[in-house]
Amino acid sequence: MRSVVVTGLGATTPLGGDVPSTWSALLAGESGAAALTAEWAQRLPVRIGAPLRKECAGALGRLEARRLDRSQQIALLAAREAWHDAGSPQVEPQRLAVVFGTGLGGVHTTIDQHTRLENHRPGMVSPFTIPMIMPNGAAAVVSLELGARGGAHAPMSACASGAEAIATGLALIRSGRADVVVAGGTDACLHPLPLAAFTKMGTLSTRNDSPETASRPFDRDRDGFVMGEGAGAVVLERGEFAASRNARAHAVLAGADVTSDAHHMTTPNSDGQIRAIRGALMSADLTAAEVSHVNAHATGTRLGDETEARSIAEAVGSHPSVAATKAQTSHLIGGAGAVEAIFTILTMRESVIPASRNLDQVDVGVPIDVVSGEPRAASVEAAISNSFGFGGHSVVLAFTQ
Amino acid sequence: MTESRDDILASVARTMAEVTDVSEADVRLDKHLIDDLELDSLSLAEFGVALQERFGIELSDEQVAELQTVSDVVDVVRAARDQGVTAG
Repeated sequence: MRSVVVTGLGATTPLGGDVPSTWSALLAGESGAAALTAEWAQRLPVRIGAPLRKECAGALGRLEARRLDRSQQIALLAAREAWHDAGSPQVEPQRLAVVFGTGLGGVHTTIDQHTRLENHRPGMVSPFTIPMIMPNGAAAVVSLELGARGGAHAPMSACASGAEAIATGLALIRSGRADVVVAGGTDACLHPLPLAAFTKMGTLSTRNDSPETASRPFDRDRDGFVMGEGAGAVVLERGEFAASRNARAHAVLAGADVTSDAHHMTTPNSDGQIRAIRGALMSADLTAAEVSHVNAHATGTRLGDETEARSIAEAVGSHPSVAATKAQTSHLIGGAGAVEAIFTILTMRESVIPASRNLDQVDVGVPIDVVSGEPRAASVEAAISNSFGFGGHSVVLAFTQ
Repeated sequence: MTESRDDILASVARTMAEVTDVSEADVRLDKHLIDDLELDSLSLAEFGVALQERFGIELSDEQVAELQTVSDVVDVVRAARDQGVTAG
């Protein structure tokens, strides 16, 4: 089977405008969450969120800022960083593919243009509305940027979209369809409608008076997630291709699996999660005992964290360290899986496990080793990253050194 | 008060430079929007929306699609201004 290596990393998140700044803020235990001070937020029941640490407009061309939805803008920035980090591989355009997922797509544009339609008339709607709201827009934008002609795919699995994009990239290379794939996920939906809607589902933390302590995965006092915005991207390469150009590999993407649980639209289910973990290990030719670290999906909802903890304990065991990085980043929706894949890779490469902030007492019903307090030095040979999404999607990525 | 063609041209040029990658200095009366300034159909449509906002006029999609040259743009803006048609 073709080996696949990760040669480039890129991200823009509530912790930083790129991978190095995001990673150092993660290790420092900083929170990306803040009170939403805009006027539109004041009538909402939940008025906290995690905006980008570094506003993206300054890094974009004037027309990019005008003609791309915010979710596409940040996808482009993350992809550029990853591509640059990989050393801008020389690859035939037909052998270069893009896979970019999103949970909600062009939310800002959809709502803004609807407002325009209501306040003016149909003729005043932007002609770029459709390219800005279509869920494949981010994949298309990145493929245009890089001249990728080997396919531009856009998997949709809600909060697992970024991870599913990476799993799809692995499949494209393993099947011989591509030598290089830029894969990632993005979302930018800090807007009253998604905030009101997630609140109505009972999924968001209501700690309006204390945003920095609101995201507390696995903690006894968790009460939901904090919605953030962000994008992550990786460059995947066929191992021989990367070796032939002497590219530096951050890690090996050893395996992945994607399952659906057909259980309930929004209630998590251990069966699908366990099958995805076991499937990823089989795909990576790893045993559960060999996995020493898990980057958990862990959003901070009561039931979600408990279900995931059970799945980890059953499919991997109680021995791996667990990182719940949404404690710092908040929940980046479609961007989460890609950003957390990057965290998993950096954990292995740097031999340090980020400590989750806001974890006073683990309360999930099963014993798992969630790292809190200070980052923990540890050599990690094999790790998995979990991502789950509304709709019953479970995606697990397995990385090795 | 009727604006001069030069005043309208200057505003048209500024508008185009804001919403496309055409530079203000290139927007001259004899320039063809597609052949010279290389606007594609979406750019032209967006330029049409921006013109309506800047000048407070109402243009139909057909009027915008029929524009050929910068001179046509100035004429259609001036006519709409003179009619006192205002956009919502």
